[in-house]
Amino acid sequence: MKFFDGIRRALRLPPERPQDIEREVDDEFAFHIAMRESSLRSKGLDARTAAVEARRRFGDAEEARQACLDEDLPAFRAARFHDRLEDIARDIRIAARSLRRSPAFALAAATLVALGIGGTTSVFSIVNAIYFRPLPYPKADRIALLQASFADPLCDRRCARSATSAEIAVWRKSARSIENIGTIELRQGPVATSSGSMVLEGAAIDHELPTILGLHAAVGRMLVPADFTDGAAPALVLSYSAWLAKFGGDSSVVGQLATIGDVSYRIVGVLATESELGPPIYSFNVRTAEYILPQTRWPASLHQVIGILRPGANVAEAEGELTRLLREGNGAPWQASVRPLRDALAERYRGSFTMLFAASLVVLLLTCMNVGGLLVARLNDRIPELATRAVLGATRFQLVQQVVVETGLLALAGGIGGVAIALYGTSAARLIPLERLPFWTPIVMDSRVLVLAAVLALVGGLALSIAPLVTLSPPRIASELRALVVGAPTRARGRRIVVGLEVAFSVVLFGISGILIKQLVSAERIDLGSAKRSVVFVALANRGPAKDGGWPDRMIQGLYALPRVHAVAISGLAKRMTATRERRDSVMRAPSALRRAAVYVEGRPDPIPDLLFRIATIVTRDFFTATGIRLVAGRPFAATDDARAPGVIVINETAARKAFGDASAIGKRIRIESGGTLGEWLTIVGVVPDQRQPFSTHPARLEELYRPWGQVDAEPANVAVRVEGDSREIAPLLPKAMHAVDPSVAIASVDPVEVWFDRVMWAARFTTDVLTTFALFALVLACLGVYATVSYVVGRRRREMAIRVAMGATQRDVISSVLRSSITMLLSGLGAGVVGAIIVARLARSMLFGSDGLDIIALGTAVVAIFTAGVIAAYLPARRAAVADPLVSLRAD
Amino acid sequence: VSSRDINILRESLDLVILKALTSGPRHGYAIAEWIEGATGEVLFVDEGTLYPALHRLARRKLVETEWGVSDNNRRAKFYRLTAAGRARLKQQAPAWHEFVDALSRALRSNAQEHA
Repeated sequence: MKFFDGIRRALRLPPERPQDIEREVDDEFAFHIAMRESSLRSKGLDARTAAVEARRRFGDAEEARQACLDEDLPAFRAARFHDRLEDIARDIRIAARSLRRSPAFALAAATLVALGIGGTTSVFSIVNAIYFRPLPYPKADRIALLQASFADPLCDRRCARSATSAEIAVWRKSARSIENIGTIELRQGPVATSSGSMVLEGAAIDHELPTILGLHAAVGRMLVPADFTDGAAPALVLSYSAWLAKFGGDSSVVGQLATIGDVSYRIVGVLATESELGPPIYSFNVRTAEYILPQTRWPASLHQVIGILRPGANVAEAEGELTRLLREGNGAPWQASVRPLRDALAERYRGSFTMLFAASLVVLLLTCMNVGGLLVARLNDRIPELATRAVLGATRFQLVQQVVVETGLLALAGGIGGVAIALYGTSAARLIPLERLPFWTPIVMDSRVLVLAAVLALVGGLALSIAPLVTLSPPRIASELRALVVGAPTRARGRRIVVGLEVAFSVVLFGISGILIKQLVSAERIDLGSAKRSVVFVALANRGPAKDGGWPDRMIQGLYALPRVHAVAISGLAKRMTATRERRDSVMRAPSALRRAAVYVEGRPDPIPDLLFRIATIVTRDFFTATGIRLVAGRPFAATDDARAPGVIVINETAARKAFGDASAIGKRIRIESGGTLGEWLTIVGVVPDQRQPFSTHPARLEELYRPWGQVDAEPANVAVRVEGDSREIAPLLPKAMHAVDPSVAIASVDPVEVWFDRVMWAARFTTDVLTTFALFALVLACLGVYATVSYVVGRRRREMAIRVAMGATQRDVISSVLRSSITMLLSGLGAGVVGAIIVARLARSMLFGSDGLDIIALGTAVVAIFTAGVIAAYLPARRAAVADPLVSLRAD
Repeated sequence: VSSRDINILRESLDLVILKALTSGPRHGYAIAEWIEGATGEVLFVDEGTLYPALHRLARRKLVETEWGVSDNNRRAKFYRLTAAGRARLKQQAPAWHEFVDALSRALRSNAQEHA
């Protein structure tokens, strides 16, 4: 260091460090004392006396030195801080100039940063809005869903049922952990008002619910306790969204009458938006209940019991207490469950949330990687320049500072673009049909998420870009400089590794998003089959006079008369099961041991173990055609499967597997013992796929069976109509046609399958949409990243290519040599990536419920796309260099 | 009252240094010599105390510094009066004359005259 100090002094460079200041003071003092000494000597003193006298006259040198430093150092530090700011300003100028010189690099890097930040922020904002926004009810944190449940293998985990009025009365009276209990149930059907008749879906609530949820009206009044008393004038409150959608937000609707069935209700108010009722309070087919009215009679069975815990009471305590009260009442081993709303909500969306979260992380990682890869490739080429600066006295800190400043500039540009994309992304989210979103969530750009994404993307990119600098040790600097003097250094290996890693990681990350999407898409496909776009389901209300045996045929005939109707079928439950409401309710509520049916296979004495049938669906002949359920084996029901013919049955794959393993089930005969009676022998004529529920966390699938209408006396429940073209056009015609056949028929709902699908599947569908967008985005990002890096790396070989052209190589030779090495580089990266993706898929299979592993098509697409991007990226600069005048190219360096 | 006003000795030293530089840049030793000659060595006990004053003046930008070569060809730090330093000298000197006159009158007078 002495040597460098000498140079600095020789060049009269300003002091750089505090030590320099100290040295200057020492020098100054030494000069003074030396001058005094020589002056004293010239007056005749001997050298020794002169030295002593000079020091005596100078006084306490140490104190003077400290006093001088106290004056100088603060000023020096301030000046150095100022200099540092100037350094940064200079670095910004240098960085801006160097970025201007390579606009393609600057543009690519800034675009990548912008896409990464913008995309991640959009998705995180949407996810955040949907999954983390608290429910709008004032005491939402204390509200819980109460149920009675019973452990049973038939149900996913436990069979749950609603608590009865008697049980609720006991809970209300005796439970100390529960403050209050309310109930809610579904009401659907036509509503006649002065503005016409419409089918609305509402909620019947009891008198406690408005208090528990803190419901209030935006227009008119909320239901009050008096509305719930016997003999009160029937009152009804519209929901805000239904008021807007169905009544145009007209406040004169308040005060009018609405007739439901044979009761006329007075519309007394409109619910405030934050008081709407939707999942998980109750799952309606519509997004939120369109009206609420007082519950006058005890609901049949499908009501939800809502409790509010006392402040400070915990869930386990409440569960214990309610269970005890439940068992005191009827002695059965029922278990009370208390599910806080937030848990119910989390359960409902857990699967899709996990995936979205994973996908966002994947894209963020891709962004970091691509930006980092690009920066590393660029930095690798700037090492000679940086080494030169290091020799000229720049500290490592100053070099890092310059790199950081340049990255910062790119980040700034990218960040601005990112905000724009995020704003666009979140506003695009507003285009998502409302019924697909939970009712309480506005989607706005989440600025915290934006900052988080930006910081993550940049820190990641920066860490990658600074890493090579750490290796800039003195020997490295020396070798870089030697290379600079001797000739163009070849860092081909380093670059190849960068590109290879980037390609590999992109493939792995894309593979993950492929797995996630496949998971969702397959759930969707299994559920709906090919019928998705062309079926209308008509649900019959279980009211009205009983239907005679000829009713299904007449109805089917009547509907076939409509244009474009391709197939019509009716499904229902055996009359035995629906004979009386009481009987049905008792069956539905019984622990399923009572509902269990033993299944015997011909030739085997014992029933098939673990084979449990749910209640059979009784279907008319064209059921499978009409619903689009495709048989995997055998035949559908035929006209000949009537009461005189031998009994036939269609079962699903799970049932077939349990009964017959891998052997074919077709032609085998089974008989079912249920409720103590042994049924007749039934021949299996067909096997259908499982109707798998999306996002089921339970691996076991349920057995299903279908019997033909002609052989079982059944009560119609649903009508399925398969149409050519858009089912939404024909759906409105169906009720009229059905009424023409049977004027007394009560229709609960008419659902084109896509509408039904939206209602049932909105969460899954939404997730799929977002994930698909994300995967495409990830692929674009990966291609862009690989393109940028490869074209940059190849572009830096311009000098080498120019030399080769100058030496007489043909354009073709040069291009093909560049392409050959690029392809080797790409292929090794892709190979490593595919291996990595397979490993990740293995891991995912154990971690993700029911993951089917790698999506070959998605992965193949990714590999081809990235490879193509890489080859184009190599070809274009190679061609440019090969065609250009070699001298021009050489001078450019 | 600022510390500058009460520290008469330090202030007076500053003023003398500025005065010493009016005839051109000097290094620390030359300033010390000049002061000795001009004041009869009464102003400071130790020569070393000159330097904190010089550095203070430099920090206040009343003087500026530069490394140069002395008459006997040695490397030395030179001090030069800045415009601000010159202005300071011009502004402070009359006040000091008054102060010193007043002080000496007071010290010469008979204490009983005013009692």
